Amino acid sequence: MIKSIFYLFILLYSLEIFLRFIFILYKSKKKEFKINFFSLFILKKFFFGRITFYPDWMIETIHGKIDNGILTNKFRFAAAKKYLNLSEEENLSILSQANRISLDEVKLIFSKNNAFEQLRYRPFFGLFNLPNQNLPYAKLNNLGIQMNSKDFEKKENAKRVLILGGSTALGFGASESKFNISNSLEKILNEMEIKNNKNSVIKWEVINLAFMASQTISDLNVLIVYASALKPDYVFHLSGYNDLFYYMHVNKDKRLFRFNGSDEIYSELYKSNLSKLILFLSEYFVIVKLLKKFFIKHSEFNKQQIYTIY
Amino acid sequence: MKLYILNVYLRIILFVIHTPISLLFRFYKINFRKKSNFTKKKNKIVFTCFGLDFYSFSSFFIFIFFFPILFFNSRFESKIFCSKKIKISETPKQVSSLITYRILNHLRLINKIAMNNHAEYHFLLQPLLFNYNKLSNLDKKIISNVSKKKFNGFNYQDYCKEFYKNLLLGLKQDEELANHYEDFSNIFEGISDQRFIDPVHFGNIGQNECAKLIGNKIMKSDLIKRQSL
Repeated sequence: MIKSIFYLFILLYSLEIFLRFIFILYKSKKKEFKINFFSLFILKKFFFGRITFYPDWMIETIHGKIDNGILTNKFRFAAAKKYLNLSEEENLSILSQANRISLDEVKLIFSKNNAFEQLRYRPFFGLFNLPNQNLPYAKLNNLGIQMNSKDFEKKENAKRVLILGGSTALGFGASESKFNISNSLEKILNEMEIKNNKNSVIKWEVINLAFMASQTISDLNVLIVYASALKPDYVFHLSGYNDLFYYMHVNKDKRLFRFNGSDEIYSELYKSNLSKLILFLSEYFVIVKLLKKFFIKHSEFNKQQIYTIY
Repeated sequence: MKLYILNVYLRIILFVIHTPISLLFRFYKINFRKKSNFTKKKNKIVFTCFGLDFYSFSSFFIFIFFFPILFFNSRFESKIFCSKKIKISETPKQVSSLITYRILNHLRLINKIAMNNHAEYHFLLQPLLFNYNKLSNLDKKIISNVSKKKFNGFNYQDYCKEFYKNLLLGLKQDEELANHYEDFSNIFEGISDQRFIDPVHFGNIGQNECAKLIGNKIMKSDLIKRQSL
């Protein structure tokens, strides 16, 4: 009995290794990651690790589960470096030149726990900012938005500008929150106001409702929710690219509306516990990954549900 | 994949089991059912299996091999004999026109919501590194690496350029949005210093310059409003 179990285990393991080898070859052919054949058999990941190749921090930040110290030595732009195929020096020098700060400062600012934004799923929006975050490039209040004024209600002498958009509008890339678009704009507008009229009592407030990976449909929903409460005088919408990016970078059969991490949310919302288990195991075993196609039901009805949310 | 399995299964049954058996029956003139069921007043049940009554061996035989189809059909909810999916190769023009159409619809709605809330709406087409002619060395490196990525045989850069071109044209021609947009796609043109950190994001200096442009636009529009009051 024990002997047969042992043989079965060996058989399954060898089958798993063989399938992993084919899977990695397939992925490397698609140029999703680089592969070194000599290190292939030494790699811990190849024998035991996760086979879905995306950085851990991406999953942790999407679900807002950052424990203290987990990301202390992780660099925020490590994934960007990989995507842009740059060397570490080039990546650091781009950031230091664009922000006019030293290389050491770049490492220091973007290697802390708070360098990684945490996101929370909100129906109709997508993955919205988790409240009360102190990111290097943005300070988010208890609603997950950038707003310097503590009063939610508009004062009589105040003029409000709403900013909508994705990560660019949020200020992603700035080394300090005071240098991002919304804070710079508020400062500029108040300076200009005084310059035009020294006795002016008007105070400009810039409220930034932008969030990572936002597309125009999300911006529309954000404005519907906040416009009547915030009473803006101007709405500026810095966007356009994300709609194309998320159309091009998802599977062809899931292209109606997808955002960063929508696959994980889709599975959490609509899958049974067994399906969730299979999905979880499929990240670690190629055998389960293959079986997933037969076990998990993909009906047209379920496919359409995710689109009706937005 | 599922249809493929069904297809293979049916063909195996047809060619390996049913065809040889039917040929055998024909050659050797084997006939289990000597009289037709229709001539009989009362059908005589041959045997019962799985709670189902079978009136002949051949009906039982057919059922045994074809009942997995019922399982497949209920399980996968797919049509067995439906045609295969037509593969559409998405060219930059096709993709850009589709996304432009979607975005313009969303922007029209955003504009209306802003108007209903007595706010002035402006869409700013965000800066994109691919739209620049004068580039720093690091920018060139970013572009050369990103533009290598291919989709449907086309460079990613082609998709981006075509999309921006199409969207700007759409905005220009749209009656509702023609006065509510600004092209920020190449606001850093002619600057040799580093602004971008990747194809779309930029650092402190770029953000400050972008804020200045927005600030000027707001102030200009606000002064006109104040004068008219």
